[in-house]
Amino acid sequence: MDTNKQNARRWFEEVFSSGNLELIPELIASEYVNHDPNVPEGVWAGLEGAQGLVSTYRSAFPDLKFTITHQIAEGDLVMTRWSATGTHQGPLGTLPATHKSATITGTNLKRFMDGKAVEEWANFDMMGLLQQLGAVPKQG
Amino acid sequence: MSSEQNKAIVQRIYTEVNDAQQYQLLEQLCHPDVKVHDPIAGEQQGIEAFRGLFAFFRAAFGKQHTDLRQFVTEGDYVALLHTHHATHTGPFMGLAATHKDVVVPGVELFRLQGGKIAEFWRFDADLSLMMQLGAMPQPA
Repeated sequence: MDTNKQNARRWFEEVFSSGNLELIPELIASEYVNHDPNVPEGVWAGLEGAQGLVSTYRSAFPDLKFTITHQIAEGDLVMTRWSATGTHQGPLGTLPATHKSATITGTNLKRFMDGKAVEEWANFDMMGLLQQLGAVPKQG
Repeated sequence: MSSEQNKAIVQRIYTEVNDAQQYQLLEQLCHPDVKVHDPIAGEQQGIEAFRGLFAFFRAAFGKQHTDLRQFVTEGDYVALLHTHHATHTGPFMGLAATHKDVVVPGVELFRLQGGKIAEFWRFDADLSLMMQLGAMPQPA
């Protein structure tokens, strides 16, 4: 299996879902940049940013589990489409634990260099997540 | 169909169908039973459903331009990192026109079959969009 695809998968399965944060330096480059439209640019930068990203969501959703539904790779790019489920048991930003379960989907595009992610564009259904937690009203 | 041909078809969805509003092209570019996955509207099927998705956003955003930033193609799949530049000119999810300009990134996925789009997963930064429109508070 293609190393980049495999490493994109390990990020979701072993780091995010299983909480193996020690793997981060194997999968993420020190110059890592993460473009996440839900936080200001630069918040999740570098190894510390990557660690902060995982810790933020794992402390809010300790039973967080990702299921990968698609992986599309070309050159140094890997797009991963996923579904994630978790129970909101710790604060998420300013939102205290609601103890509700939520399931959302997302797409992440990662650019790799020497098997490690150097850049990532994250895109996931944050609005759906907040709706399922009851933090914002359902619309539409 | 080659990856290049598939990519060209997806490109037309953004430039000719979405941006230039040539919705009649959907019949030429898509399978009659195209599956459309949308985080807000759920899963729908058929060209009319796809047209409805474009119409939903066009009614709210009368001015739109999509910046196609990065394609990833493999087999029957095409993923695309893109940025929508739009002006909020009509009602959107209960919010009257604000005439604000918004910049909304997304990573979307297409499955093609015999040179036509058979499945589409929409992924734009919906929460960021609602925040830019002032419909939701900015994160702390």
